[in-house]
Amino acid sequence: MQKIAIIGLGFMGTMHAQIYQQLRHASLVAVVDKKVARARQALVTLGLEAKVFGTVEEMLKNCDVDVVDICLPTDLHAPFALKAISAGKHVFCEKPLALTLSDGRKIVAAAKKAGVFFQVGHCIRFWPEYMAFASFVKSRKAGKLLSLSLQRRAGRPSYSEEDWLNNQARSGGAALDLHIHDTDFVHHLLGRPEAVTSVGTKDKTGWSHIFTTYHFKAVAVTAEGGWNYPPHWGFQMAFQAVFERGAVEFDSGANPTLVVTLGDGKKQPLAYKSPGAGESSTGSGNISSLGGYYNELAAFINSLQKKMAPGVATGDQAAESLATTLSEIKSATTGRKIVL
Amino acid sequence: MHQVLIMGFGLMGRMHGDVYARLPDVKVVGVVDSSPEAAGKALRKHALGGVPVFENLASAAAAVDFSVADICLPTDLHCNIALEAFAAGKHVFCEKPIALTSEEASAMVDAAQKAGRQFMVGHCIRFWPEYVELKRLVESGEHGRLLSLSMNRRTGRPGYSVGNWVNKPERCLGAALDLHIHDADFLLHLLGTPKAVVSQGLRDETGWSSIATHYVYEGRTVTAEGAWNYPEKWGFQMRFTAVFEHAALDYDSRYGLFLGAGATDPVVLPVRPLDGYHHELAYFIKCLEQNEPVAISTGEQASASLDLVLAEIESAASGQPVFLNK
Repeated sequence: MQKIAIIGLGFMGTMHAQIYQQLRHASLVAVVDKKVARARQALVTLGLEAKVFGTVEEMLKNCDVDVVDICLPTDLHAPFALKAISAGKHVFCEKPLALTLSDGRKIVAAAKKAGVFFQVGHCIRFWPEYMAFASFVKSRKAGKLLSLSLQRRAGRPSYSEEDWLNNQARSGGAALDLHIHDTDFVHHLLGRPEAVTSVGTKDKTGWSHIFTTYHFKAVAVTAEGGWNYPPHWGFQMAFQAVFERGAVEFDSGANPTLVVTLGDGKKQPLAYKSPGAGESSTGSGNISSLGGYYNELAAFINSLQKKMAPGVATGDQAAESLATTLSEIKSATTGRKIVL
Repeated sequence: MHQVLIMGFGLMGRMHGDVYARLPDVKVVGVVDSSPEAAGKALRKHALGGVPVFENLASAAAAVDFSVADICLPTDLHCNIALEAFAAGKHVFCEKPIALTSEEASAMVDAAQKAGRQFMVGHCIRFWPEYVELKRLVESGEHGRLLSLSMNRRTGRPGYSVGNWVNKPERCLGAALDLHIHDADFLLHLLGTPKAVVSQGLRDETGWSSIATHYVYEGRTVTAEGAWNYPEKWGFQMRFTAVFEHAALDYDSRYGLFLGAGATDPVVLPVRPLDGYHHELAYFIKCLEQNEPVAISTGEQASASLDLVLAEIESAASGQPVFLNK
């Protein structure tokens, strides 16, 4: 049994708490949140029992935990991850890994040195439809992948504590907080691109909409991520993939969500495996299904149980995705192609 | 009343035949097609039974009176036929893209001017109701400034063309010039010439079958993708997403046009009935009837669209941005 402490019981922390509740080998024993009373109330609402602390130091002193799960704003990832790692805890850290590459690398190096397990919340690697797509690509059922374009669109996030998501200095804007999901998935699927060319919309909250061309030798890849849609526009993640002898499309707003067209056949649903978890009851944010969130935490707990280091969404992988996303921001800022 | 000779009675010629049949002030008086039997059969199916089929423009001109040549032929044939039509004193409606090269396009524009005849190119998206609404919203500013626009045009590989000409790069230049030019042209119509283009594409034995472009404009982000390397029965999709300061406009040919603004969920926007093919030809005939120069989708504009796409192809081939000095 892995004993878990969640740091930050906001949107994502609440989501994780609900998932741990469903995982057989995980037990949420502590929550750290500077708003102690509100966190207690949230746990009652969720029907969960865990000790609540105002600081991570108090929690570490009073609780014997195996895992620290960091669901804090991005600017706090590095200091809190380093604290947890130096206390010898395994760490699950929300994406993006950090705001800067040097912070990101510091965390990854510290985890390696301490010999603790470390995984980052790049949930799209674990998202059922994206997983099914990745195995479809590997199967080569439709031949070689020729092109892939990915989209992630949302209304402006209004649910974050102190509105930190709309504070560029804390979140890095939509480019680093939202779009990095697709950058990370591109790495997962195809490895690191040779170069990136990006353009986008920048406002006082940072790059709130970014469009990138990923330069690979043999495949044409583009992605778009933006949260400057109207507040009630909703959320959409989607991709279109063209193969030598087929096409696969995903649209979170369509039914069915994942469709394949093979050869001269008609469109048909592409099967994917949904985890057992149900809907999130938080009702906020832009995701209603626990799918990838469940899978990523289940994988992390499983690797702890089996004492085998996580292989998907590792610190190194997250650092690489961060580096590429920062290069995209640099490209959008300078108007130049950035070679990686 | 204007009499039209449709040149080439393939997919597009038949489409135009259907539109003319519904329009006042215009009559199809003849068709030129290299397969007279197939054309005759198709004419009957398209409620144009009895319309004579000719071998070429000259034989048509000798037999029937017409004021308009409507060129629905493969792209590589546009220039010569248009020059012949202008020389014969005809007004010309020519399918897009205007031609395969800038030189051909200039020759066509010059010939129209010299002949003092009207010249319009079939960039139907300028007349497509949902795109007309997008332009109206950009220009009215009622939802604030346009921040970004992304456009897509996707389809299965075209299997309908006579002699399979659209899959021959030397006749059509691939999806970039035949399909994607719709969006490139509309961008010129909406936003003027971009400073530069940065493109990425896929090239196969049929030419550029897929292209994706960033258009560099001051203060807004614009991208467009066009591909016809989807599977045969995949269908067709055109779509765009426009983000304004206070709204987002989403169009998908499979779902319709949606406006999301302020504190309400996106709503379906009604658009005017009939499609861009109808509206472009109705506009052309109206210009002829009222003796007003064509102002939308002119030869000059179509030349600029061709140049833009050729710049995109150059960028896709070189991997470098291409700057447009205009």
